[in-house]
Amino acid sequence: MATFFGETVTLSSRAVDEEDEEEGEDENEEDREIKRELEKKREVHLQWNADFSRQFETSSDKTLQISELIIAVGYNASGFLSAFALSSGNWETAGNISLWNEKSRFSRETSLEHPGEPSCIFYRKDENPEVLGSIEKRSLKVTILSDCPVANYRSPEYISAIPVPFLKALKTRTYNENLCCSSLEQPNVVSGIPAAVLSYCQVHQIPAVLYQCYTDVVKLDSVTVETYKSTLSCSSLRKLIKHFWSLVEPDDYKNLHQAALKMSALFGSTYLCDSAISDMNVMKSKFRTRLTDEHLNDSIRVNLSGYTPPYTSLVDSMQCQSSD
Amino acid sequence: MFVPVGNASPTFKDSILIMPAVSVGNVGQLAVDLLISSLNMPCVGYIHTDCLIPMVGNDPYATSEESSSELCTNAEVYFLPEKKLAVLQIRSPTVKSKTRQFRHLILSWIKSNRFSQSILLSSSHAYQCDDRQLSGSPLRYLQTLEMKNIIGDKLQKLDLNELETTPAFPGIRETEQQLWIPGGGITKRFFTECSSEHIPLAVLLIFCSEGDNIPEAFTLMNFLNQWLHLVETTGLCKLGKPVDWHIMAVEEETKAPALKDKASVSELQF
Repeated sequence: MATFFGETVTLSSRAVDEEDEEEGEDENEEDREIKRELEKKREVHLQWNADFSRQFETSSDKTLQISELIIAVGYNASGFLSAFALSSGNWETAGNISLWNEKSRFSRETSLEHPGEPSCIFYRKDENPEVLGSIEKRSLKVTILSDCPVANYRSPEYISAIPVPFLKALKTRTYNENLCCSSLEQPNVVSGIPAAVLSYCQVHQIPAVLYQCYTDVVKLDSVTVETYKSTLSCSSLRKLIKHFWSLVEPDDYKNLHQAALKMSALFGSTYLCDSAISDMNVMKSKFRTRLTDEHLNDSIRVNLSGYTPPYTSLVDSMQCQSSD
Repeated sequence: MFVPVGNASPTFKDSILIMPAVSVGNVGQLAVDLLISSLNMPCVGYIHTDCLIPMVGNDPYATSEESSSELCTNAEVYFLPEKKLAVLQIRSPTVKSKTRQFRHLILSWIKSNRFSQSILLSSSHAYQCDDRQLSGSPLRYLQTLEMKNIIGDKLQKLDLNELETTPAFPGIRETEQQLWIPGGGITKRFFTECSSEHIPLAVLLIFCSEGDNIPEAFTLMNFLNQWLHLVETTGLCKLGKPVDWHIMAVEEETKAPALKDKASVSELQF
């Protein structure tokens, strides 16, 4: 295509890249060798801890029986799971995935996790050893939480009219539970790891659901993390969360927080009732034959009120022997 | 590779296969979308491969509330046994280092299912047209020898021109002529590989530029309809547009179409 200045430029296309056409055309043995080396370096390695490796070996079909798999992709999704799931209950590290590509700053040989580098760690819950990264497909349910920039969301309305961040859901054919938010409308699509996992589950008829949070903040952000709270009503996450209200900041939802804590402690103990009844037994002794129900009511009320009469001032105001 | 939706795998023997190439303007994919939604073709299976960039979304052809939450993956096969018509829709581009593997995958799938004819819908950069191609119809065709044996001169009789070859070194006269399809994606290599594997394949392509390529999709589809008589109509508006073509403004009776889910995925470059 010619520009105003007479130079010719290649037009770019949204669909194809011109470089694709030259791929593999004049490859010699050296090029192929380099490609093979690169492929090997880019392989994804999955490492399980010693306990797990043993479990794999001892199981009859070299698989691990798992019923729930929860995957978080993105800073906010993993922050949400760390804060709400991993912090309640005992979770142990089960394994990790290491990979390398040209964008990594560190070589594969260093096995430490580097902050800022992409990493993947598997956790397993002690009390509920069926919640984890799975291998076995039978009776497996998958939940995926993922972040996405709101700039990728397409809608006939203006984005500024939609309150951000918000959640949208996609589910496979075999997933039967209710969704915690509305379904992702056409023509929006999801790509990357969530899409790969969901495609696999759709093809192999595994019930799976993806909750994608559209946010305008790419890094870890508390408002975005809180948006994921509505996913706690789905069954996979609900059973992981204990003492939920104790994890909520008291300042955020002050009244609700206090009411919830009080409700949870409502029948914590019967001490108060028992002590009131013992006091009543002391009052209603066999010698108090003229005690009426009304008197008893009032006496118990006074007893339970915790009010201490100001004896000193009462006594001071009384004259025992008055002279007329 | 091919995973059927239910437990039963459908038999594609002697059916016609129509598939798009991810090419400039996504015209092939748009035309296939038109075809699937016009004929209400049901999805019978998935092409499950790591050669395509993963992508999922809700059903773009949904006509009701329930079906609009059906998940769709990046490569699906639709089939109408009564018309012996199978359609493969590819919604995302190939991973760069795996185009060859993908071509071989599709080729071996076509061979093993013994389709009677295969048709690849594609497009090419209009700005690369030479003088002969600038005038007249923007449609061109290519066919392998096996395809020619089956359909003969049908495409020429429908006033379609075969894609002209271009000199390997432009400007120099005595140089070999070669096929050149800029912006066609896997089209050229797939065609040459099908020729050498003796697969009956026809390529229908249109010269176009990036932009609102819905009219080009209609042009391609109308020609295909003239050839194969898939939909009983002569008018444009009978060909049903997929429900999700709604964001772009076009003056048609039905809901305004927009295809860019395919476009947005094709923009993903890894």
